[in-house]
Amino acid sequence: MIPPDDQWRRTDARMIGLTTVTRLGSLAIPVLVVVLRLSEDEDQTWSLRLAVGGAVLAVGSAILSWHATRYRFDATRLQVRRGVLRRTVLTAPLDRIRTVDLEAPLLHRALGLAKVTIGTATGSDSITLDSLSRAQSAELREQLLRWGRGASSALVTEAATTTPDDDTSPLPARENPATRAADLPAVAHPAPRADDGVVLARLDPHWVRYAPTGLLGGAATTVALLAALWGFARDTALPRRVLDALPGSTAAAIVVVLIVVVAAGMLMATGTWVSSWWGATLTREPGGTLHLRRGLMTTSSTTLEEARIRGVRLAEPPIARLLTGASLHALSSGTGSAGEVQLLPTCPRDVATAVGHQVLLPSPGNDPMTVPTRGHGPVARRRLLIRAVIRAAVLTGLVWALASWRDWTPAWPVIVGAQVAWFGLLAELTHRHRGHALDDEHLVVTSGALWRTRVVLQTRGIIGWTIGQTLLQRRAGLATLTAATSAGPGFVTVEDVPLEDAVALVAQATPDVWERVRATV
Amino acid sequence: MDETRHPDASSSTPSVLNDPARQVSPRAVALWRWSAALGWLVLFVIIGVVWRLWLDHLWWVLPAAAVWATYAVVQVIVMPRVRYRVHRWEVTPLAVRARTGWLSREQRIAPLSRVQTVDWTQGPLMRLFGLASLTVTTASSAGPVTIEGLDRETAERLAAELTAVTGATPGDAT
Repeated sequence: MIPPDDQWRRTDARMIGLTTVTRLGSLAIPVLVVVLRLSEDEDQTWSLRLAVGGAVLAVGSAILSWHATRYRFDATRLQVRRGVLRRTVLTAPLDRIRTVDLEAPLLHRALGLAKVTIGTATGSDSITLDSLSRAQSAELREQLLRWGRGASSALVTEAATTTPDDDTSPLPARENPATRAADLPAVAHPAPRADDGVVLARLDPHWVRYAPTGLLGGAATTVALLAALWGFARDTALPRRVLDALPGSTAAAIVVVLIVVVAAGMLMATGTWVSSWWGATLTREPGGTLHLRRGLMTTSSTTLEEARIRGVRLAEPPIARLLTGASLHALSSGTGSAGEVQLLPTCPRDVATAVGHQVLLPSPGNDPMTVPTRGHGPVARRRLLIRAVIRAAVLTGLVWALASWRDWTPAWPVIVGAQVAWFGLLAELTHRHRGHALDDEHLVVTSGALWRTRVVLQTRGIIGWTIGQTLLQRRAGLATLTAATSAGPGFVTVEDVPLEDAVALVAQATPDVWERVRATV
Repeated sequence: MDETRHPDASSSTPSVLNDPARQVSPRAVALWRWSAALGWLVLFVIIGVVWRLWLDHLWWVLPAAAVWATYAVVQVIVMPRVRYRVHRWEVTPLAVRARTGWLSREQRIAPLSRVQTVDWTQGPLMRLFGLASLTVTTASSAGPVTIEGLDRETAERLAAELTAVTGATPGDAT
């Protein structure tokens, strides 16, 4: 166990090897280019010297940067020192540390190392320690999170009590004995290890059947790759051979290409799913954090402070929905990209809703993950259908312009019919799924036609409201209601909700604010 | 003295929402009129110059600009009055609330316990009319509450009051 005793510590010495390898790797291409150029001059000694010089430089700089990088922490702060010529010392107060994430890319993993990224509340800057041994990094994470909480709430002194195996470590000079004595009952057990806690979800290998449903992204990549390959190899014999291998008729060729693209897309989606989510385990740790560990080649460990979670988002992508699959994301203030942290990959919907329920821990009787939502009524539906007709008309106009330019005579009834049907279908799907619900803790908003989502936002996480009405919405008695929040994308929007419903939502979701608003007039 | 109560000066649409209690300074009408007029003027001068220099072979630019200019004139005449009627605000012990817009309308509510920053600003035109605007932001990317066209003293006083209230709120208001 690392005692928080204010000693400067080094990162793991195996980093010298790893840094050397990566630096040599990044040097390889320029060196190769130079060597190839020089070898034209038939002067081999130059290239040899260059290679040796590069290697010495790589090893030397790796040793120097390892030597210069140190960290220490005590009861109040974490400091990281780095830089050979220009020394910088980063300091983070422990009570500002929000996240401690571990990541082990393939090489790190082979050497038993893990990169530690420490996120603070003070902004986007995070502190990275690259790298510690796996055990050391797990312990540092545990310590930082525990100490951070201890420092932020003066009550927790868990870490101050010694456990049998760290009697030798110096006691942290942290707070006066009086307060320590006062909260002793909390802690007669050894420090909880990283794998302690309640497991909320563990990846079931059978869920891999949902992995190929992400094929749309994979297919897009495939098409882009094929296009790039075509551009690259168009002057060679390759395109000719490919074209010869395709069946003669255009329809059959299109089918073959489609099959190839879909298969490649499925393969890629499965690869991504497995490599990022294999072995995923979501645990609730004592002390109010959620801990997510996942990854096949690169393993990563993400910590979420529960006090900062404001809600969850359940996403149902179009193809996964056919298999009733869904993914789960946590809306948290001050973490992740766009304030969201994905908790579960595409997996059975029931699992995603159950885990969402576990994360939100609603009071008995509230079931925000599955509660049916209230639709927005016939006027809102009419607006969607009118918009669908307008879209079809605009697209038809574009097709007409294109046709008259290229002298085509398309089958107009088919084209117009298909467009009206498609946009009409989307409008109807949007209407069917769109809605809102409210219990005494959560605002639930469902939206989307093909990509369906259900956002559950805790009402205590709502930090403002906007009720907007365009001219047409005013005539229709509808409004766009936006609940502002510090988590996730920053707002949750309810489109085309009847004005009465919008006002009722505001009044019931944040009654304290609303009552006073009414009382003043 | 400028912010008077006009319980009857509600918007033309019947609304479930009651009107916020206070109006901004009547001088805001002139401010909006002048800023709209100047904005249009700059735009039409640019269009005129571009048309004269490069696009004078396009016959349809003139009638299009004429239609647009008609809209601009109507907007400059009608918009400020409507906006003045619509734009109302109030600060209760728990929330700040403002309604804005003229054709499209928007009502924003921010609980005082969640306010992060309170700014008041005065543009050059605003300074000419002795007006200021007040912006109250929360920890969200959506929904800063802006009250435009307050007279300067009110804006300053309000900013000081709101700052005092938010400073007294414990926690980081997220």
